[in-house]
Amino acid sequence: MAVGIVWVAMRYDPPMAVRIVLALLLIMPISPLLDRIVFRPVADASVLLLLTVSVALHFALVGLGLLFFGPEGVRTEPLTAFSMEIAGIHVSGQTILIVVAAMVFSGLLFLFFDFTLTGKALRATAINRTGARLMGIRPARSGTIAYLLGSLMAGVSGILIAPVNTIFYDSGFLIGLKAFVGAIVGGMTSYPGAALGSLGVGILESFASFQSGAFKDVIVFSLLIPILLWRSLASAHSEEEVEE
Amino acid sequence: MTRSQIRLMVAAAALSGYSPWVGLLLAIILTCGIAAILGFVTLRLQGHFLSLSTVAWGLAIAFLFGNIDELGSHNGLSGIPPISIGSLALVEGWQIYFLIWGIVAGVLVLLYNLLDSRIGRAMRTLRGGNTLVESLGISAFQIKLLTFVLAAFLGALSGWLYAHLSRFISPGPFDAGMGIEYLMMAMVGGSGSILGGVVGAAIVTLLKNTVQDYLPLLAKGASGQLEIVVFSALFILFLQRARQGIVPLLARFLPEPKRSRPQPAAALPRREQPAAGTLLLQVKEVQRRFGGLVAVNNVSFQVRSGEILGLIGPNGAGKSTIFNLLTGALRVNSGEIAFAGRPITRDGQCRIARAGIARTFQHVKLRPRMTLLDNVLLGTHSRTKTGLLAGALRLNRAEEASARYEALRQLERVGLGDKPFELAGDLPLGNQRVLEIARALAADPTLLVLDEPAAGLRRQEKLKLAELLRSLRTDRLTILLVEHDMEFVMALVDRIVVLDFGSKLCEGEPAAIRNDARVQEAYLGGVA
Repeated sequence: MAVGIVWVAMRYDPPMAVRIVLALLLIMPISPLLDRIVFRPVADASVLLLLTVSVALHFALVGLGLLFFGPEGVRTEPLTAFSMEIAGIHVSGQTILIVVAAMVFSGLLFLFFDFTLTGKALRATAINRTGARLMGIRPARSGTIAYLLGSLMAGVSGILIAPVNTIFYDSGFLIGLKAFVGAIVGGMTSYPGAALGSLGVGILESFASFQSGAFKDVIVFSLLIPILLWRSLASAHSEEEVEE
Repeated sequence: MTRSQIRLMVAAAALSGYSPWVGLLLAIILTCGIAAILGFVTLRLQGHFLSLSTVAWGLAIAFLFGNIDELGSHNGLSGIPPISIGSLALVEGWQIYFLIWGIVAGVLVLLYNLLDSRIGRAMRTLRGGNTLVESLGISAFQIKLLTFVLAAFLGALSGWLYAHLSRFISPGPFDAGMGIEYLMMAMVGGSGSILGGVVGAAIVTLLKNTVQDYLPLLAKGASGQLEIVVFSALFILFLQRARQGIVPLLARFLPEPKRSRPQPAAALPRREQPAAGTLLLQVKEVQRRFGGLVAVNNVSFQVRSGEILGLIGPNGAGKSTIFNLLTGALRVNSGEIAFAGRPITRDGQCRIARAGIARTFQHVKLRPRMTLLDNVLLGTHSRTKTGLLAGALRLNRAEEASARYEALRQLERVGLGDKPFELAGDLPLGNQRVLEIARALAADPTLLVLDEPAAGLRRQEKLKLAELLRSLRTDRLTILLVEHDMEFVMALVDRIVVLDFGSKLCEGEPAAIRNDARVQEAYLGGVA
């Protein structure tokens, strides 16, 4: 099927909307498949091991990315030519599209996790695997759904960002890392929190690069530490214990 | 924890244009110093905050070094002199080869000694959680910081060797990718063992070279990109098949090392026990709230030296909260607690443990992969003094022998003395509880506080436990028991304090409590 999709895309040069759908169709099965091959055999292992496995997987994917796409970056044409001025600042249609998409998908995720049985089952599995299993939830299926969602989000984000930034085979890592930082600053479990956190990271980075381009990342990552300290002290922790 | 400190070392070695040995000294001082500062700030963090902040430090420092021209920025520094011993300069690879292996062997021996000593045991216990570590009178933060600085020291040493081996350094080999590769080496070898690091490093390096050598034969042209893919795939496959790493996997097939029972040795110093009947613990109008819920409301009681006091009450009466307040796991909102005439209301768990209150846990907290003897040895931590260096150099033989003998004696005292080298995780629950008591006894406590020691035990085990506790009372130990098994408590204790809905209901001897109408109502519902 994947070959078919690529063939259609190459042969007929379809309109943008069709291409987006095709791209999503191509991307969405990737992470559930990886989940099945890579993670499920070690699903009950320690967090450290899972982390190491995912890092190794990251390396493998970056290597494949380099192999398939080469070292040159890709930039797509904007989805919309629309642009407007707000209070004297030029805002492109693409930017508005990104913000709107972020809000729409946050809303959809909120509805999914809070009001559907599948969403609730996913949350239950995240909190306690064994408990969820006893209630008739299959952790493997929850995993597949979670990865499918992740794939979808990644695909949509990629489509949205490609016209703004040149995307290289390894662009995902730094974007992902900063998004993770934003989510942690925002408290991990809240959509407005994550949005605000990511916004904060972005603003911090912009100001830092304005002050000193070379030290941009130094400033971003060292300012992160006081924030992490504050977050860690502010959130109550239950005793962590490593099972052996 | 990532070894971001290694990068600091690189700068230090490069900065000193003098003799490499001066560089080594500077590197160690600088790296350890900076690690201590970083650790001091960061190690209070918990869970993913801690791991994320080490990543943040790592990235921030890497970018910083890459942008300082004096340190060669991203291009690096070249022309670093070789190490020379006397007049012999170690220029050739094979010359420095022996120096490196000598240092590796030395470090392995020192680390092995260290992990088998007092500080090392505390380090191995860190993964059992802060509550366990602190309840043994060990400051978890101190041990974490020590571990962090020790890692920095080793980082400095290896960075120094690396700089003078390649005689050129740049931030490149010290970026996040390398940190991850070190992590992989540890995982492949077995992150729980010292030898695992060396074996893992060897396997990863050899594997990488093999893939580099043979891949071009299989896939021409694209081998550069495929290398990392094949390497990562092999690594994932390995972790799926052998999670523990290679060394623990092979260690199973080795014959059991011969370990001899500890021999009689000089006794460890003992605490002065107060005379029987003196006021030992005074709890005065203690209150603790959780939000709007008052879990413990103005409770007062006293424990006198030499008695067994039972703290009972139905579920949700506030027993466990009181227990946590006494041991410092929770802070009181108001009221006072005094132990042996000294207020301990504001003290943390570690200080309270050191003052002479030893505890056990309702959900057993042992180190399952450590032997019975090692588990009990943990209890002697606050009675012994061996530091990091003395432990690594084995200057602690006399004290270690005393501590080991003491641990064996406590094992014998509770009836577990016949197999001191069994793993704690292999014991049935009843004996695990008893092992916790032995560990508490090894701290030579004035007051022993037991959190539901009979929970989950079978009848025979309960009888044996009661017998053990009675024998401890004859040894003049004071025991505070939190329990809701009435039969167990009634036959054992001298006095009982009954709690209900966070308040003290009554206090008295078992027989009187048994006939008290209020207690019957609390336990059985209204007397119709």
